[in-house]
Amino acid sequence: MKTAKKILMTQLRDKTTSRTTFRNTTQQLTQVLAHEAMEHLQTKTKNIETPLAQTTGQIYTDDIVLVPILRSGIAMLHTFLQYFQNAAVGIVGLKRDEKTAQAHWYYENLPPITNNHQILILDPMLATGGTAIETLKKLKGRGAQEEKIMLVTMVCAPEGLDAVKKTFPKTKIITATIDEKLNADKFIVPGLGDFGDRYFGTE
Amino acid sequence: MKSTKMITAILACTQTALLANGLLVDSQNKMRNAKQLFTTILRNKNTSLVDYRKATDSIASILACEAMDHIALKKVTAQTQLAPFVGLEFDTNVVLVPILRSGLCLLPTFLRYFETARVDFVGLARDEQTAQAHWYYKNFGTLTGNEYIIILDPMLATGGTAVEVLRKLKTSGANMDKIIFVSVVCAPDGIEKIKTEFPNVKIITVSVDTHLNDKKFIVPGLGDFGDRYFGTE
Repeated sequence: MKTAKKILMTQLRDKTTSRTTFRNTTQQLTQVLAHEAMEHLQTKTKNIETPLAQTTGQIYTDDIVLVPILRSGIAMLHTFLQYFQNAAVGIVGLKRDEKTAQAHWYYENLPPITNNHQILILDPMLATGGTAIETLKKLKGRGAQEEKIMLVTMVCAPEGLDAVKKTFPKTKIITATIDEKLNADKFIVPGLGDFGDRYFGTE
Repeated sequence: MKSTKMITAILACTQTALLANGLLVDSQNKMRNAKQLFTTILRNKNTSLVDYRKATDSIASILACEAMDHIALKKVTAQTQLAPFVGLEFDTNVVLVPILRSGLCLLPTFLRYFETARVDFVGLARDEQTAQAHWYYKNFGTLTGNEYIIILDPMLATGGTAVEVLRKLKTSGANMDKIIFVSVVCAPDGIEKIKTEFPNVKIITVSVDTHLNDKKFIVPGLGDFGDRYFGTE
């Protein structure tokens, strides 16, 4: 899916891309990421009957929980719900003070979580990794297993990837691209700007 | 069976009463079958998560089409392959304002109908005793007074949250004649509260239910919309 990712990312990066195209492209790239996420999920055999014969198929081993991070993660939610139709959805919102490293949780509404749940965190941009790490800590604290949490992003900065991998080495990260670096304002470069502002039109 | 029939009858009476009092919601009496079929799915406590979500999307489509009827359009001239024709397009910008959390359930469908709309999120918790609103989230763009604003919140119960959001929009520069409040299920209390303070705000809904219980839940209602849609109950 390398070509699909490159072509769709080109549209998202281009600052002349219209709001409508940005939204449509986001949905397409989210589908690509959902397909990729599926490849990493544990499945088990299930016996089924077709109208003609008995056969075996595959189902997910674990119940799935989607955790979009406000506000941008909401842009990926609807498409993920099409692929993971039975998933529960836990919504979180947090602001992180980069200087004090203190997280302020302004919203948190998670379903019951056990170590048998497979969790997919949705957040289009992984910059410093601060928000992702706080969310991972929160989920682990609620009983999730680190190796059963996957972080689904569109654009990563190497700094954020390193930070997450250092704290949670067993967590898988799915992304469309790993960019060069963060700038002084902690924006991903070349990146695509502020995802939420472009998707929701608030810039 | 008897109780179901009774509830239907009570609902019909309430709606008539609301119309007679001039306390009407601005939903037209159209697409009644579609509305009743999908609300039956939403109300039924045995409906699965998947079916609940599908029914929400279907209801949202109906509501989006109804909301469009309250938005000003302008004529545009274009060409078919054969001849020029006069068509219509939105006259001004549209801003969607989903109220967290359950307003998010209506958002994807509304974005399909209002493709270029900006989306402003608000989240607030309201203490019913002190009537104090705590805004835990607010991400508003600039309002000029020209745009149509569509507030999305599936449940209109006491109207407390709705009125707080409307007041905030008013002080932010919104034109109150261009606001459409979209809900799935309403209590008469909520409609009255909005219409008393903001008579020009349009209210689009699928059903006006009988009353609020002592916990301020809409009865018969459908439970907690967000818990059922997101599977957090």
